[in-house]
Amino acid sequence: MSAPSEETRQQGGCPFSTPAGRPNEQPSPRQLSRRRLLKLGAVGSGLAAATAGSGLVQLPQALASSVSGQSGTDGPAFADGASEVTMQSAQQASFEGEHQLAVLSEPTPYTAMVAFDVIAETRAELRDLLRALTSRMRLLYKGGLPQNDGPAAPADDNGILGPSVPSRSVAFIFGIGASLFDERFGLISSKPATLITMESFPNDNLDTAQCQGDFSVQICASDADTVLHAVRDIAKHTRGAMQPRWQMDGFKSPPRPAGTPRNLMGFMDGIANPDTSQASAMQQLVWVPQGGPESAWMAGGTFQVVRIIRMFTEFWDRAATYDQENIIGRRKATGDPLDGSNEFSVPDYQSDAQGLITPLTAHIRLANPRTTASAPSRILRRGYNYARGLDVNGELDQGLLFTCYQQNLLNQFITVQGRLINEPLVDFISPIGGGYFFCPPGLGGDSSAYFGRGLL
Amino acid sequence: MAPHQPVAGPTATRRWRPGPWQAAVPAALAAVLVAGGVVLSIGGTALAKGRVPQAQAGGGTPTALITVSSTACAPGWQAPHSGRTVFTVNNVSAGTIYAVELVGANQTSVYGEIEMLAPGTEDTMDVVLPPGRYSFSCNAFSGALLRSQVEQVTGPPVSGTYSYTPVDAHQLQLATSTYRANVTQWLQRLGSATDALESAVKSGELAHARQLWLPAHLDYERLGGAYDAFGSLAGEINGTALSLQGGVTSPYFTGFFALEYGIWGGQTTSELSPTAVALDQAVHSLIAQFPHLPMAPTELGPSTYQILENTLQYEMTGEVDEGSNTDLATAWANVEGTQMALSALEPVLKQSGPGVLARLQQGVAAMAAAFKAYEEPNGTWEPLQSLTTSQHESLDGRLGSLLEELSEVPELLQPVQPATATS
Repeated sequence: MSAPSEETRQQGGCPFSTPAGRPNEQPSPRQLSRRRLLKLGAVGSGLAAATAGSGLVQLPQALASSVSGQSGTDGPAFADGASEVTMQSAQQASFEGEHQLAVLSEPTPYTAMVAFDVIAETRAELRDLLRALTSRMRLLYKGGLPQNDGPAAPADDNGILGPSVPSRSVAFIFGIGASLFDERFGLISSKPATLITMESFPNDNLDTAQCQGDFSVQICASDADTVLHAVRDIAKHTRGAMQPRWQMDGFKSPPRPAGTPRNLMGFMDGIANPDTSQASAMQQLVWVPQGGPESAWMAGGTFQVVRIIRMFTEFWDRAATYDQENIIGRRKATGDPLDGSNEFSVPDYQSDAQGLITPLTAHIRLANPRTTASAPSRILRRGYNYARGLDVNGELDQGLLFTCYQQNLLNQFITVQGRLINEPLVDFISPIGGGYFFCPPGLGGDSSAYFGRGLL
Repeated sequence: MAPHQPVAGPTATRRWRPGPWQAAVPAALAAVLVAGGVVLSIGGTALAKGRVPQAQAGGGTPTALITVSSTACAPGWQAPHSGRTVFTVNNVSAGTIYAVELVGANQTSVYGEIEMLAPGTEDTMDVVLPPGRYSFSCNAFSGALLRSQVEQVTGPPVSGTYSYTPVDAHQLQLATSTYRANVTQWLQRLGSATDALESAVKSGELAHARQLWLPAHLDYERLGGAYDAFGSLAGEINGTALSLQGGVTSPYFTGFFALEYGIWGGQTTSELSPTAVALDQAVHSLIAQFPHLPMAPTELGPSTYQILENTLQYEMTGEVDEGSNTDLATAWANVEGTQMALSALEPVLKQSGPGVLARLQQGVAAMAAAFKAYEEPNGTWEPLQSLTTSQHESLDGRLGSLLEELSEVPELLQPVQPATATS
């Protein structure tokens, strides 16, 4: 895979903020208990800097602009594919503010979605785990020299990014699954009102081993090694308190030749997303509001859907382009809707009530019928491609690591998926895994805050 | 071929190709006269944004712009030199949906087509033209047919065939009738087989039921070309546990696979009895209903390869087997079912150029023999898991290769679009 184009780099990226020079060299406070072997070493002085309470700004300018989609004009979201990230003036990770803002950023070139099950046994241990996880994310984001554990200990850092961890080169999205809210931690009564376990839709082929999880941790970066560094680091430093359940790695293709990146069916994917720069749209569609069905602590969070969707690429490649275009509802070459003259043309289904132009069963028409009634069911779609070798019979195991965000699962994703049942596309795909998660709000500028604190 | 069993609704339809001529046609749409023009450029500079850019088209491939309006089809178009050309066709009409074709002098050989071109949009038509006379035909979905002037393509000869001849829709109907008659016969046989299976289960003869299950299942597995027509009965009879909430424990898990799961999974005949009864009932419902279940004439062509796509996905991965270890037997029956669809289409495919039908039939026969080789003299089949790596690879590879060939069939069977008017 070739390097992303200049255009991708400028639009793309988890909302990495920019380094403020070298981190201070200070020892990190051991603020966390060591129950269950949580290895909470510090990378350089990152933790110290983050907890010093001095440098936390509300919403860094570079971060705000990368999230609002204006990053193309004032500064790239992250460096040119190299590990050393050089961005300006922001000082905190994307989750330190009101929201987990990586949710809104354009997909990065590489990602890993890792589901974990908590094996900690008490509420206190769960709290330690959440603190440890949050701290580790902060440290990985800050970068710097890994902690020195002395000459007799194995190195604290896995070293795959070199002796010093690059600053601000990774972003995270953290979610909590419905399975956490059971008797283990006394959380049954705290379960979010609208968070459910993902059930099998007609035509799904779910593999339990690749479904659900107490936590989801998505790691986004511009390089595959940066993603894997963080996966290993988080797993190591939470060992004994949570156990990886499944993982799916993804990548985002560069624009071919321009416009929205393509999925592995060759179609541009995610064209019709709501505009993430419109705060009001995000309030209506993505962020959980105050005063809704959910508890106050959840406001500003969002619900995450993960679907691992295998594509039968050999079969797809044997279908005629015209058939593929009718199944999807767009031109393959250009991404144009079938009645439109460019990728971003808004399809006019009202003038095509019989489906002569865009079949009534076309994927984009069912998913988003563009009616007043269907508008509130829109989702923020964040797809990544995946390719992980072969099936047992030599068929390619490739597909889409689909994620989407919404303020209400039932009214949005589940409603959309209900419209897609038995769409013609189902012959060519097979959803095999994933889950629903609640992504808690951001940490609100409180350097001692940790994810899920509103829960415990 | 084992379709997923949705919790609700029929099994996934495969009829994604409703040609414009199958859909109801709206009243004549507003027509606005727009002067059509043609720009021919060698080198692609006139090519509209991003469609088959020069680099992808192969350096030096000529490109040309064609317009279609409500009153004119490619007015003033100029013939390119022989060889490859990428036309960009722009529908400048205000409200006419067209199918656009580039046809040879005989008006029947199609060299390039855009099956649906909405007003105000454009699409590319990538063609390879031997020297000869050509014209565009523009079929409005409302029924009107416009033709361009005929132009002469000159230049060096072109090797290979880059056209096809659409078939008569009536012939596809005849082929479908032939196929349906064949399915009806097999359904009778299937009914007897599930009768016997049911009675063995009811009389407590588990070993006998175990013997009767496979032949009955294979009778059904060769009918894949009609699964869509079977509708929700297809799921009742042959749905798998794959898409069901709760898998094999789901109350919606019925039919052959549920019975297999019970027979080979240690259930008693009295536990199996309701499943066997329900299966037999569903089969007899199907026998009664099939004469009234519609099959579109365009359905049979795609099934010639889609049956085996499912075999590759579900049988050759062992994913759907519930204990009988008969994936290879099912795969063989699926190939037989493909042969059944192909045979019905024989009169149509005979017109698709010399050797096409024979090549496909030979490929299918060889594949059937390759699977049949794993049947033991006593009627049992070698389990998929006991294949050596090279045996598995050989079957997978041959099946994939056959599928590449069969996937051309739907294109060969595109029906002629009826023209109700000409100008």
